[in-house]
Amino acid sequence: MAEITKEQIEKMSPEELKELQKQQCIFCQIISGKVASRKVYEDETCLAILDINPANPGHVLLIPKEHQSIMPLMQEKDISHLFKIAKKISASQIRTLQAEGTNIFIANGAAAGQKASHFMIHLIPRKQNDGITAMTLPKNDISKEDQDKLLKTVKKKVDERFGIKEKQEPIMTDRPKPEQVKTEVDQDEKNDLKEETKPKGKFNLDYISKLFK
Amino acid sequence: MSCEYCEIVEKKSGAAKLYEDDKVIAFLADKPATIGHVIIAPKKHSPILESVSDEDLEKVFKTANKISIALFESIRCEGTNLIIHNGIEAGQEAPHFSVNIIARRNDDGFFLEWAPKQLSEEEMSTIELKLKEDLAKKETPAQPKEPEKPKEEPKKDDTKKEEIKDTTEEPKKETPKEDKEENYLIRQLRRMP
Repeated sequence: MAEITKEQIEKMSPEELKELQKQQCIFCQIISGKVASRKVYEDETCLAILDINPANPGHVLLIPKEHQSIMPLMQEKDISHLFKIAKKISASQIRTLQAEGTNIFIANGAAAGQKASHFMIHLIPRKQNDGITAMTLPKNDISKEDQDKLLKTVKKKVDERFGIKEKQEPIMTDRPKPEQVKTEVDQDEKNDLKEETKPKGKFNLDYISKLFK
Repeated sequence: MSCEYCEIVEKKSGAAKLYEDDKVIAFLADKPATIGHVIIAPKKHSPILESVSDEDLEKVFKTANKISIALFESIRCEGTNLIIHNGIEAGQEAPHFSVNIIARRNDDGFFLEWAPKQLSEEEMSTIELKLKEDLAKKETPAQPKEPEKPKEEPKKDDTKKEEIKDTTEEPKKETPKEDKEENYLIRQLRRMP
């Protein structure tokens, strides 16, 4: 495949980027059968295969057949279906591989440790003393003040997502006024905002595409 | 024994609540992995994934997705992780099924990497077969009222034919399977802290 320069990628529209991702996506090639895999489950919308680099024996990757890079870009009905299947696979891992538990893991974006640009659900069978420490979450302290600030900032967007309008101020359908945002985030986040001026208010495909550059 | 998440649902203990409806509750983690760590749980007390109804699960994951999007939008995180600890050996702490959504940034210094284990081709094949067979069999209990239906399905290839044969010819085998699952569920329940 011809090398694509950074400049070319910069100029591409989100749709073009998605098409490019698709062409280069190893999981799309697995789905189409061009690349061999060990399939454990398949239906019209998804495919489950064994990870060739398993965290533990029986590590399954559950992938939607339609190329999407991350969960926020997936349709809700497909998310529901995938997790219904994930539940079945988890039960199967416990039943047939004598797993004592399972981890379900998703990484959205390179910052979250995502490597391939195709959305996937990892299902990892677990056993006592299996040596996996990656799933243990650190526990940090957070001050009441910071927690309250964070809650206020995030809740606003959560409410918007769920169509909840309980504040007097009009919940924006488009961009927030910069002042409103700035008063609600702490100093650290303010700095982040300065660096990242592109995505304002609206969650868009363009922004998401940049997560994979 | 009391369940900390049930106490939050019943408002016996406080939490930084982000969202709530009749089935699901979402709140900020008390001891966050990163700034922007949200816990989403079904309101009905269910210890593990396998004991949560499909209907509740659907709500939980739809909520999880919306919250993940809200994290991208509100605190401008650069990624999110969704992590489920299903069972004590998988790192589950509260005796109530939950989903973690964790906001990530490139420089947050938090790594979720595992060292891949080396398995022989033979080991991989054995696992593949075991899971494949089990996942194919499980289609039957999902449609107990329509035993004829599998026969009507287009038989695409040989393996599928075999799977269908299995489920239709040996209905008795399903019963002990179910029992096994029951036992496993009960065992898991006992294992909870």
